[in-house]
Amino acid sequence: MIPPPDRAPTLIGSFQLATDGQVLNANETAAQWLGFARAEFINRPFHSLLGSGGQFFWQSQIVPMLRLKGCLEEVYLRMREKVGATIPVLGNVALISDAARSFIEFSFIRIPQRGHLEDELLRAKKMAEQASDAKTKFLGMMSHELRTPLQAISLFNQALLENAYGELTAEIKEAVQSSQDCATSVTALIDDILNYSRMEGGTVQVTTENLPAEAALERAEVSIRHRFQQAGLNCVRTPVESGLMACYDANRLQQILLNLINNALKFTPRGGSVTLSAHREQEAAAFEVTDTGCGIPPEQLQRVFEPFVQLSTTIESSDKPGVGLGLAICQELAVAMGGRIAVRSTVGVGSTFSVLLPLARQS
Amino acid sequence: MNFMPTNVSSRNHVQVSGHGQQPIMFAHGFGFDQKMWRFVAPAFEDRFKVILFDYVGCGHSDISAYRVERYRTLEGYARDIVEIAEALDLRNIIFVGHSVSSMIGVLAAKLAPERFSHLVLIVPSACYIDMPPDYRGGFTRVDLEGLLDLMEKNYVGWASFLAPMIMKNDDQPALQKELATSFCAADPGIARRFAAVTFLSDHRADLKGTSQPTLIIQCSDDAIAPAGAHRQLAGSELRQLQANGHCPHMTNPLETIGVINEYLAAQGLPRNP
Repeated sequence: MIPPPDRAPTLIGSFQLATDGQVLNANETAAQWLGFARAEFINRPFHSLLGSGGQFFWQSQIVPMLRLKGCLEEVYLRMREKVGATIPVLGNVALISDAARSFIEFSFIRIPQRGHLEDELLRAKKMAEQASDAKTKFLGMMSHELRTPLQAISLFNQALLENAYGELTAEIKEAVQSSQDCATSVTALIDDILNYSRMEGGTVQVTTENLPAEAALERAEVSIRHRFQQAGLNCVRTPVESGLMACYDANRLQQILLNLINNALKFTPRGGSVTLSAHREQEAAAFEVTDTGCGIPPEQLQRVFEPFVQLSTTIESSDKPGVGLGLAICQELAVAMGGRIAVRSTVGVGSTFSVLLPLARQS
Repeated sequence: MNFMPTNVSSRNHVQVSGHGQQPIMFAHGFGFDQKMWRFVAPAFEDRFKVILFDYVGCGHSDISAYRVERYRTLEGYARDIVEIAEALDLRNIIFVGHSVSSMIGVLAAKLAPERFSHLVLIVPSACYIDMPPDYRGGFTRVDLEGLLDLMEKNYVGWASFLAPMIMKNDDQPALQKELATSFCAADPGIARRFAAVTFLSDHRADLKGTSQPTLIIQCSDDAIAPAGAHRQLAGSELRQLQANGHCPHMTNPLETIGVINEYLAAQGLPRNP
């Protein structure tokens, strides 16, 4: 095909290609931008005008996608200048068919500034991802290293408390008990970090099965009842609709519920109450922990599941232990079981955390 | 809510059709899903049991089943194929893989040789990276890293333009929905890791361990898997298509079907009990 005259200046480069990718025609703008004479383009495979990543991309993604879809917009490519450098371009590409013939139209603009910015963005994103990976690895390793000596400390404390090194005075016993309480609390924090870094590494395993919803609430209540007495709070477990079955990993759900109940205990003043309930909610079973605590301000509500976020609340929270990973871990566990956790809260009234899990599967 | 897959079938969105006994399994390439076989697979339904599926992170697979650890190598994807074969109790599978799926199929056939009878590998490459002086994969590492960058930049663009397109073409809602989900439906993170595994790994050593009769299909003028770069597979036959490019099953489906049919007939397939 002989290129038709094209003298009008345009701000868009364009190519017409045969469906096998050979250049049929190109406009003057395309020729000028790439440093070719128009005739030099004719019968070249179009992908030879692209940077090497682009050749690959054109053949493996764009050509088959055109076949499926007919047109693609905002395709980012790098085109080769005749002298060998490449320039970033943004193009639209369409497969045009009429009764007589089919061809591919590719129109593009140069985007040197934007291309440069995008390169910078991508570089920054990669660095952030590498930093995040490194952080996860570091946390995993550090937690492991810290856990080992802590176990030794706990063992010695236990031995002391059991009088393995002779009878202790009441005063020393109290001091050792304090030391042991601290060790227990630090171990729990490290477990949180270790669990979270494992999850970020994608290694959380859950084994779900069909189980009654009520069993999970009952088990949680029994194992944490003593804490309610200590905290001066009421624990209320509301009856569950009979036959409500959900599909969950009993140990993982327990971990979530105990974490939510512990939070409720932390943030509810004496005399308040914590209610455990479960009900059907559309296609899910909702396990709920409701407290009469200080509540969470709306602007902080979305952030509670982010890792390392500790909310400052109306109650002085600096004395609440934790590194801000508990809810992030709960959310990951819920997602791994095919569900999620939602929260609603009113400041001064209380909060409800809902663990939404799949209903039991029909076998 | 996305619930956990109840089984392998929903994890990989496995679809079974056809009237034959012997299974023929089609495995899609990078960036697509099982719908890329729609011009080819129906031609086998009269004689075979046709198995289609999506890799985890593609098409209608269950994205929540994605595990970085499992899918950091092609072997993880190969294990999924073996699990599909086990779940459906498939034997004598004719495995047809496009591009990266060729190598995934080779690995699956090594993991469970008793389940696979033949391999058909369309534009395979065991290693895309040049290893001078002896091996020409077609690309330098720098080229391939450029490709990964390009993919990443384009996925951002595509994700944003696909949504309005769906609403515009409401005369063909089903098609639009299909397209929106067929091209890199997964999150860009999964696609990026899959791309890196696909294009940066070297599986030349794995070609030595397969025993199944194999058909290798190459295209003309394929910038990605240049002809001749891949003849290390013992007992394989090579067929060169007139079709050019990298996706003959989409651009030249009839020629592709013809070549596969010819090979299967020569091998006396389907072999129905």
